[in-house]
Amino acid sequence: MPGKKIKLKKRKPIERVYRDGREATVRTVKRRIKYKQPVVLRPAATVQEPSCVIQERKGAFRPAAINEYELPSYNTTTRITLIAKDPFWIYAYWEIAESSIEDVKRKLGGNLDGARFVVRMYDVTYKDFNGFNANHWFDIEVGRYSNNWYISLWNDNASYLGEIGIVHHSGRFFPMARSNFVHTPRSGTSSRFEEIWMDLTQEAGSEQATPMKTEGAACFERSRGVQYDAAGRFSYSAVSKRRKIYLTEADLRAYYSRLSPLLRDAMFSRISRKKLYRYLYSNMSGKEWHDLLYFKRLHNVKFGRKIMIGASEFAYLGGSENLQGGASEFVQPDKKRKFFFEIGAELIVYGRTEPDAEVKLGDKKIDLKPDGTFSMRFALPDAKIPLPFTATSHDKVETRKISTTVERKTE
Amino acid sequence: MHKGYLCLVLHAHLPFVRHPEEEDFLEENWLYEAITETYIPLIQVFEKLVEDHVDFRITMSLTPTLASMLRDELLQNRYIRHIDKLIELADKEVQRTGFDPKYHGLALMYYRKFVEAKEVFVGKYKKDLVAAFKKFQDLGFVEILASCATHGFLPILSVNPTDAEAQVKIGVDHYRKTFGRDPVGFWLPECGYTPGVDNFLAEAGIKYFFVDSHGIVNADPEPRYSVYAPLYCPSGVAAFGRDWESSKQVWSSKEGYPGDSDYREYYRDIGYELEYDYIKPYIHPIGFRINTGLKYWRITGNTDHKEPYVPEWAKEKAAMHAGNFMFNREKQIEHVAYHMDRKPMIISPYDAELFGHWWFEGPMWIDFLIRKIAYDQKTVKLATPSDYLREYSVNQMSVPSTSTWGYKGYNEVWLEGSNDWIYRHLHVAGERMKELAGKFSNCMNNGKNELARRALNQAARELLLAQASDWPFIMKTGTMVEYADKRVKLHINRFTHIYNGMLAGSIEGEWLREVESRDNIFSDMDCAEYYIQAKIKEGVA
Repeated sequence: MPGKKIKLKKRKPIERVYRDGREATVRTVKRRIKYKQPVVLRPAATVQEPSCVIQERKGAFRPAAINEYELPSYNTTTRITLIAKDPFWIYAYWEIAESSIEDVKRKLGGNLDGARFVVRMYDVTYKDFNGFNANHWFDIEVGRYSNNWYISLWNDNASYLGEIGIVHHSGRFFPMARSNFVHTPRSGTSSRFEEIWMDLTQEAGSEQATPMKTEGAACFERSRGVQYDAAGRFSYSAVSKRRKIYLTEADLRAYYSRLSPLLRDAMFSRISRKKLYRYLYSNMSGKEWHDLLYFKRLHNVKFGRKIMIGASEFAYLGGSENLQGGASEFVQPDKKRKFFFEIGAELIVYGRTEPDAEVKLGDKKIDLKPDGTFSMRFALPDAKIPLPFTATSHDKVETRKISTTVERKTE
Repeated sequence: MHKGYLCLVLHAHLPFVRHPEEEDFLEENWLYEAITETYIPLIQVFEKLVEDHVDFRITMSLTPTLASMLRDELLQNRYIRHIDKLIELADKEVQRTGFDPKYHGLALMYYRKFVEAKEVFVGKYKKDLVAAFKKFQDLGFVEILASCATHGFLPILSVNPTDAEAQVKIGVDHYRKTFGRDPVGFWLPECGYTPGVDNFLAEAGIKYFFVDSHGIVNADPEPRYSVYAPLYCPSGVAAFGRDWESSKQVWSSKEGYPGDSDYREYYRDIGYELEYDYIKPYIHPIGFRINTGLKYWRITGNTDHKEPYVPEWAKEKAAMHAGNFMFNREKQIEHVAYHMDRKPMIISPYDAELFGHWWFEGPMWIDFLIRKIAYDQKTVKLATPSDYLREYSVNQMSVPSTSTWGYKGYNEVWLEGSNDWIYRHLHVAGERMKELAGKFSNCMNNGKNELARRALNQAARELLLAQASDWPFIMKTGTMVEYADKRVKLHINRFTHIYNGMLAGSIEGEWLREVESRDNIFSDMDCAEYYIQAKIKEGVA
């Protein structure tokens, strides 16, 4: 339960040794304490229960059971979930079970007068949260009957965790459920620009880290642009200002522990076998700074704008001006037109003759229906249209001609 | 020697819409229209390029939902019915416009297009367009990306990591079955990335994926070469960032191509324009007007008055715009390459359906662009991300920032007032799926309880179908909302029905059969297995 105190373990030093035999340094890395969610434990996956035999119920089913639109409700468990919407907003949704309220009520001696339902948000950025060490926290009073809230934040790139609970008028807080961790996105560029480069040339799995090969005399001069070695490739080892160092797993752990707590473990699990090295900027030239600034300037492009596509349709364009993913064009709103008035004209010409006769318009043969009638439909533009029909009898003995002219004039 | 690369990415995706229970289902038209207007024209462009020995490299996604629909027999046959109807209408139009020179040529153009489409669909590829794209991949011209099983939006689904993992792994396995090889790249639905997602990709053997520009630009630490070179995530998967300049050129109001006055107007369709009784057999059987695909007018300008479309002018413009796009990429690459120690790569991803369906001249523009790049210059070369990673295997390591390609660049499109209600249900269903996977894992392969296995698999399918990012997207845009609403509710309820049934120990056999026949996506895969594996892994960890 959240109220339970978790002991902080002692700091334990971790040795860092450079692989290329340079001096060994010792630094301390704080051990992380796994925080356990205060949720009900579920049976482990491997437990096989005898109840897993499913019987088939025979017979016709209720047809309505196929297309059911009444959504289920989950109000037997108290729970809260956070989702980051953007760098400055978190969406929280929750359910409160009556039984949880009853529990709190019991603790308060059966009286909830003056108690408020709140979502308590903990800022746990770069913290191994143990329930008490948040950077800060704040409450949002949400009332008994709301079940979701958009929460506005002060800063981006932060880790949060929320609890739904009841605040007694004495100020005591009784949490009923704790949420997942959520980390909001960064809204601007990172302030760190030290570089680590990863080499995936060789199959991952070989523990031995080997330096990149370079052949021929290569040189590197930023002021003259890019230089390549004899094989036509850019040469890395020729960069005199940078030193290549192989990093140990401990290095990387220390390095990435500055990231969100959400990420750390997941990341470390697989990097150890990759070959990594870092370029240290021991003596960065003015030119290199210039280059970095050049790319920094590019970053200042504002994302997200509303632009116009087609004749009169707005499309909201995202981070980089495309329609918003998906089957976007299929779901564009119907075009809203202002008052309009249009006229079209069509012409229907029909006639009849012997069913076995042949009828032509100009020199194009017309298909007759079985009873010898025919009907044609034409778009009628502003023009004078002559319609010369000819009918010839089956035995080619008789021929009749009818010419008619239609004129449309729009003024 | 060329100085940099251009990577064109076409993301082909449609949500799984298949309704055997009804003869005519309006939303199935999304697929039919995309086949006629986008997929077949693209295939025709590729075919002609191969025939003319033009070297090109295109990166494409063909999502599992789309591939499943293209391979579905019912939908294939319904498409043939659809295209036959269009050919009939176009034929009538050819006669009707006989005295109207402005439109007669257009009617003929559509007639020819539809007849050709049918020939490609039935005659050439025997109703299987997936085979067409697979062919171009096998020939080495097109690189097809894997994608999530049902276009699940990972930044929000990863609240339950199992859900994200299953979306990724089912998508990858479906790719293997469909294309007979391991995928190299992955299209994250909506470019939705959040750190940690790359771990699932790495586990599935993926080498690269794409993020929006700010995913790279805001990466931590700050990348040296911005979006012009990939980053390795700590998991070793490479992230390629979208280039905003080339995106703007295609879509911006000022410089954007598709809004040109000579191009075809999308919003004037004879389905809405012509006399009711005449057009009635070709619109919705209930009688409301819909788009037929025959559109005779050009954009003309910012006015309601539209002039007739002139194909020659439009073709001229498409060639001009392709030339302009190439010229700008050349300048961009020359400029950026000066500051880099490697060749820059420009990533230009677009929705495939924008080419042809929305921007009628789009496929033609791609054709011109590829030919011009092949013959008219030496600065830019078309390449796929795997080409690039083969050339440069040392890349900077950084953690891309959470990002999407939606409006404002984050999750807002898929998480706002109109659609936030779905996540409560999606997350609970995801947890319940894991619960079922834990309880009934021994039913999967011992063959003793076939019904339980089927029920478990169908539960997974219902969950996946409910997770499609298309539903919240449609709710947000405000058209066809009712349909998206129904779909989420339907799948959640079907899932819950199975969940309750299994916990109670019995399932209605007939009901399950009916649901299996309707939501038959991934019917040859044991979808529940992925949740069981994740559950086991979790137990070990």
